[in-house]
Amino acid sequence: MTDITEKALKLGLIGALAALLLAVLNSFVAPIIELRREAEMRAVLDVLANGEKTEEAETVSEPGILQRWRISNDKGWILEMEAVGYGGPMLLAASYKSDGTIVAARLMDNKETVGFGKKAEDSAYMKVFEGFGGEISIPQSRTELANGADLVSGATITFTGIAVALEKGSKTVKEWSNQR
Amino acid sequence: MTYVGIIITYTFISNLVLSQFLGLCPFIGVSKNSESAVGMGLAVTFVMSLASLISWALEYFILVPLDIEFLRTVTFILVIATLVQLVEMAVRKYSPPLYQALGIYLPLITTNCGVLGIALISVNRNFDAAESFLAGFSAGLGFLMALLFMSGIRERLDTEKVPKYLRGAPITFISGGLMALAFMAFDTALLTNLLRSS
Amino acid sequence: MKGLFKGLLNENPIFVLALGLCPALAVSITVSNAIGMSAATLVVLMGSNLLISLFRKQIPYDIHIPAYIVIIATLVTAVDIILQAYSPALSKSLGIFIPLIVVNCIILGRAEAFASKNTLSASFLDALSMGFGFTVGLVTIAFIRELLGSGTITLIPNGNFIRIPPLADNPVLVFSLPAGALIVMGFLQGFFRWLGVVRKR
Repeated sequence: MTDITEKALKLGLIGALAALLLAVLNSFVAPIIELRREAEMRAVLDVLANGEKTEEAETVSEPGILQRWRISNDKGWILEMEAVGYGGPMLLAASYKSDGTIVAARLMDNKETVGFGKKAEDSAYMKVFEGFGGEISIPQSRTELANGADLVSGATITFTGIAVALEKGSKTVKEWSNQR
Repeated sequence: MTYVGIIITYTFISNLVLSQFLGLCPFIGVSKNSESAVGMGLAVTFVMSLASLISWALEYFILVPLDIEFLRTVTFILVIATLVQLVEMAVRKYSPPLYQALGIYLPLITTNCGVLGIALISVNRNFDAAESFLAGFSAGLGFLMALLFMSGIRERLDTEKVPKYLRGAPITFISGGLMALAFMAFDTALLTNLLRSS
Repeated sequence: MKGLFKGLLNENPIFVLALGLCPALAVSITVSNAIGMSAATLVVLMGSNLLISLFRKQIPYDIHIPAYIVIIATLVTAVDIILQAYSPALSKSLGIFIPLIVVNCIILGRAEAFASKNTLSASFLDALSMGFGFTVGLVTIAFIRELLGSGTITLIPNGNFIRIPPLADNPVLVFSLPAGALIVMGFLQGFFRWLGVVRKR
């Protein structure tokens, strides 16, 4: 019995030591991670707002849309949305004019299987969606793209997922504009 | 996500082996015949369902309230290792025939990255208890299916003339690749398009 | 010196011992991912081999597996949060495969088969050799897959990459998908097997 107790104690000791070490490390590193995340979000917002000021983040009850930021003077909205990708959700952010036209879009965090969304991360990819959503509807497949089709030669899956999410955002923005 | 959505996603679309690269070692190692494939697949399904559920409980009752999410990897892997041990002991005691069938596969499951993988994925996707359990269960089913198909292919390959240097593991990988190609048909966009046009 | 190179060809962890396959295939979509993953694995492998060799006499046999798992998981978590803080791009593109280093069979395998029985310096050399072999294997797969699958070579995860014009214009997409990874792996294993036979002659 004492043998078992001793072994259990040793294992417990190893576990406790490990937890302690990690806690110490974490207390140093966690603030850095937090700062980096905030800076990242702010940088994306600045780019998407295109020089305009944005107001505080608000949560949205619409499924698929996580947060919204009003662009000052009612110039439109910036949305953080979830898109369906190959094997998992992707986070993207986009700014819209009040009539639903996409001003700019960015892929944020990519929880897809590693690397599948790689192409979508370069900003040129997301550029093909700019200007759509108002009078001209958002292209839903690559064949609807006149130019820039070669830019998006990557996974069809990713393209469709992003297009669906962006369209949803556009529709929601139009609804918000109509409500006032 | 709906429950049906989770089952379809983790069994077919994000099949652990064929699209997420998880659980490859047993996929290659235990797919020599269909009997052992079914044994391993069932054992994994069982452990995955339980592990996802318990990991969910740990995450939301211990790690998040105490604000120690950085210990997630350590706790999850310990839980899985303990769970595998307990399951092995329980099966040995209460169901000797089942132990005969699954026993040798159980210790191998701890290092099957699919188990830890699906537990971490469930937490990443903010699944609730039922969804986590279902994700683990469907991922296990997907693994069982891939393993069973592969064993069928390998039983046939045994009688074929395979180039000398490709015999065994290499040809298994290549056949697995061709199978993964077929599984591409279960692509999320396909489903999204189907749902939208209806 | 011979010990250092055993991991490269004769006992290459990926192609010959068939260990650590999941991360090898999953992250090998770009060369930079492969290098990052190898580095993370190498750090964990060296840490675990050293610690386990150091405490091999203190850890009772009955609890050696859970004890090793705790040690390895601690090292992995440390690497994980350090990467999140100082190399977010790499941390993002490797994603879930960083915590999954815990179940990389190379690490527990070497702890069990080597470090638990050998001296500190021998274990260090073993970790170096295995990590080196893992790196070579991973980078080889990634090089082939990225070159054929997207026609580029990415060395640092900062958005810049080398374009290989004819391939970048018409990439063979299947190589960047799971199917291509498995096929490349199969042929590389066959190639290494052939190489082993030729070298023996």
